[in-house]
This record gives sequence, C-alpha cells and structure tokens, in this order.
Amino acid sequence: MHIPDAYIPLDQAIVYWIIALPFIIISMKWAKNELEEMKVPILAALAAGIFAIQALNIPIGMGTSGHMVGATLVAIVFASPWAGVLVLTLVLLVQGFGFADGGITTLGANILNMGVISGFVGYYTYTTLRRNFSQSLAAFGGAWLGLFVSAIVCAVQMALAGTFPLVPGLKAMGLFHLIIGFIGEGLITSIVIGAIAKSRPDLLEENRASGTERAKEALA
Amino acid sequence: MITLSDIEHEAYKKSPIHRLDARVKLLFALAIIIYAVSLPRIHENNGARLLLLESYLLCLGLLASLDFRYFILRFLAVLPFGFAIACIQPFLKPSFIESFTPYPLSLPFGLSLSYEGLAFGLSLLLKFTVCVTTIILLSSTTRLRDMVIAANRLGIPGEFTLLLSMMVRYLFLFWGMLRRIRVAQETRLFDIWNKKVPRKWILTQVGNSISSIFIRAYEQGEKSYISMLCRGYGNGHEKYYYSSKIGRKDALFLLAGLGYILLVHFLPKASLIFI
Repeated sequence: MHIPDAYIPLDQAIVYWIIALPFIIISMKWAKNELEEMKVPILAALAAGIFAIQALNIPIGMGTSGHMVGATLVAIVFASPWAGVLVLTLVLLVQGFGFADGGITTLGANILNMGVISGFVGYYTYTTLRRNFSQSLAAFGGAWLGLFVSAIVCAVQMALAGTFPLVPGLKAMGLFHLIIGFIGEGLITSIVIGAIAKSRPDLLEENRASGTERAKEALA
Repeated sequence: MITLSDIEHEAYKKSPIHRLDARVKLLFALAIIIYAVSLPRIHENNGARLLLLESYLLCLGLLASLDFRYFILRFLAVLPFGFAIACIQPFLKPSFIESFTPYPLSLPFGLSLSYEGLAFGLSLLLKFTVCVTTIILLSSTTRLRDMVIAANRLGIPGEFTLLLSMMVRYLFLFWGMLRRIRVAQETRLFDIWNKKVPRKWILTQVGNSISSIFIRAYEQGEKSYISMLCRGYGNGHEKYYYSSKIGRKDALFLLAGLGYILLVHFLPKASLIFI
C-alpha cells in the first residue's frame, strides 16, 4: 500500500500533505501533553519494533504473503489513535528516506492512509466492538476494518491521480486487502493483543485506566 | 538480499559525496524528486529530461564509489509495484486523457494499446526510476543518524527529531532481533509455506514472533527511560547535536545540482529532441 513517488501528481500530493500535517502535529502534541515523559523512549523503540514487524512476512495463502501495518495495534495499546498516527509517521519517514519504500512527495498520502485512516478507523471500531464482544474479537474487527478502509482510500487516490482506473482498482485493492486484512492484520493483531494481555497486562492503557478505577472504588 | 546493515555499511564508506554535509544532500535529493514529480504527465521532453537527471545521479553514484551489485539489488527490491503499475498504463485509458490514438497493433483478449498510454507509462517509469535512484544515493552516502541531525538543523521540531533519532538507534537492534528469530525458526525447519503443517499453527507462531518483538520493543523503551533518568534526563530536556558549518564544497555541490536541474529544464527543445 506504499504509494511510490510520481504515482500521484505533485499538486494532489501536496493536498494530501496538507491534510496529513495537522494530524502529525496533533499527534506530537498528544505525545507531549497527554503522556508522561516516559512515553518518548517507548514510542521511539516501538516505532523501531513496528519497522521490524513490517518486514516479517505473514503467509496469506495461495502463494501470497503480506505484512502488518500495525497502526491499530499501537492505537489499542495506548488507547488513543494518535499513538498509531505518530508511530506510523516515524516508520513511513524512515522507510521513505532510508529504503525508497513509498515516496517522499507521496509520504503525506501514505501517512494519511496507513497512519491516520487505519489508526482512527481501527481504534474506534475496536472500542465500539469492545462493548459487546471479547477483546480479541474486537481487536480483530478493528484491525481488519482499519486496513480495509485505508486500502479503499488508497485505490480512490490512485484513481484520482489517473494511474489506476477506479472500479478495477477498488476491486483489486479491496479484495486483496479484504483477505490480507483478515489474516495479516486482523488475526495477528488479535494474537498480539492476547499475548500482551497475558504477559504484560499493564502495558494496555485500558487495563491501567480500569485498574485506577478499581483502586479508587476499593479506597471509597 | 540487501539488509539494513548493508545500507549502513555503504553509508560509512569514504568518498567526496559521503563527506558532504547531510543537509546539502537532503536538500539536493528533495529538489531532484520534487522536480521529477512536477514534470507534466505526458510531455515530449519528459524522456530526455529524466534521462539527463538519471545520468547525473549515476555519475554521483560512481563518484561515491557505490558498489554496482548493491545498487542494482536495492533498485530491484523496490521495483515490482512501481514497475507493474507503469507497465499496464499503455493498456489503460487514464481519465485525464481526452482522446486516444490507438497503436496499430492487434492484441488478443480485446486489449488495445494507445500512444498516450505508452507515453504516460514510460514517463511514469522514468520518474519512478529517478526518484528511487535519488533515495538510494542519499541513503547510501548519508548515515541515518546524520539525516536526522540534518532534519533538525533544517528546522524540523526538536521533539520530533528526538523521537526519530531514538528510533534510528533501535532500528538496528530490532533488525538484529528479527534476524535472530528467522535463524532460530530456520534451524527448527519452520517454513511458512509448509503445507503439511496446519495453517492455524503457522499463523500462531508468526503471531507469537510479532508479539515478542512488540513487547521487547516496549520493554526496551522502558529500560532506556530508566537509564536516561539515571543520567539526569527530565521533562523539557533538549538533545544537543554537534555543530557543523556548510563549507564551500557543500555549497558548490548544491549549487551545481540546482543549476543542473535548471539547465535540464531550460535546455533548448532542439537539443533535447536530439538527445
């Protein structure tokens, strides 16, 4: 889903940068204000971890493999979509400048798709599902929908850029990411959230919040 | 296969290009990429202009004594997606083209080629090649750490470059961890394509590897924070970077690069067609 340079004309690429930039700035403000200072090294290390995780192939079936994006995963752990935006911005920047994976002019569009849309759609789907379903099912649904919607937006961007017609693009990207999202993003996110809940439940921000509430109740 | 350490190994070489200030290289790379992307989608001079830019970049690559095999491998690693999209352009009818001139070639399955599609596909492929070459050149002659420092000096906010510089530091750690996981899996004959093993089990194993990287990354962050506290880190502390000045050679490199872009752009039409 990394759109390379030149596949979106400069004027449109600038528009995506203008849309993505406020999200990046607000995510920085979030990291500064909402979090304890401790979160700075944690977010940086996590960004490096997500970079390695994105390089790990996941078998999808029929001879194809995919990789995780991870925005929803980070958003669920920190209980905020801004964490997903910030970590993915860092990862995409290093991928773009260091590895020519994705582009420089198209970085705005890529951050918008994989960081903002995937993070926000994924996280809010998770919180909505969490009311009625188990944690692993909610994480699965959130990560899957987050990736699927961002793939659809990516197909629309390519169509607007004139590099790929809309209907076949939607079919190809939609169908491909429906399957990749199911296994690569959905299942793996739910496994990872399950593993964190088992081994380090204190890492999940929602557990911390409920923990403090429980402590307050106990004191009262 | 090119790995993170290969790229950093190239970036540690010594050459006139490696010695240039990272700010200058970053600005030059941005200028080339923005110029290449800004060229019209279809134009008679696109081919010549982009080829001239590419040849300049290759000359710089030679000057930086980059390994040829490494260069080609890196290029091939990012090629597939861009190449595929560019190659299907002659068969598509992009929405921004109003009238098509069919190419006199009959193809099976009702496919047809158009001159406009061919021109667009070719210019897309050339633009992509120029942009990728620029990034390979930049990342093979500039260490990631220096790039972050350059970004800080060019005015990117300190909080952001602090995050980036820490991320770059841990990048190699987790890359090494990923490699160890892969080696450990291979020694136990773990193969994600093995059809004799239940798929669910394979996915659980991959999920476990990813969980372990994620949790270790988080714990690394916690450990680093504690060690930072031991060294007196507190809220509002800024990272200090060593100072450096842009020398005459650096300025000359940037001016030559920008001058070349202008030259390529304003070169008389006749000479471009000749090329």
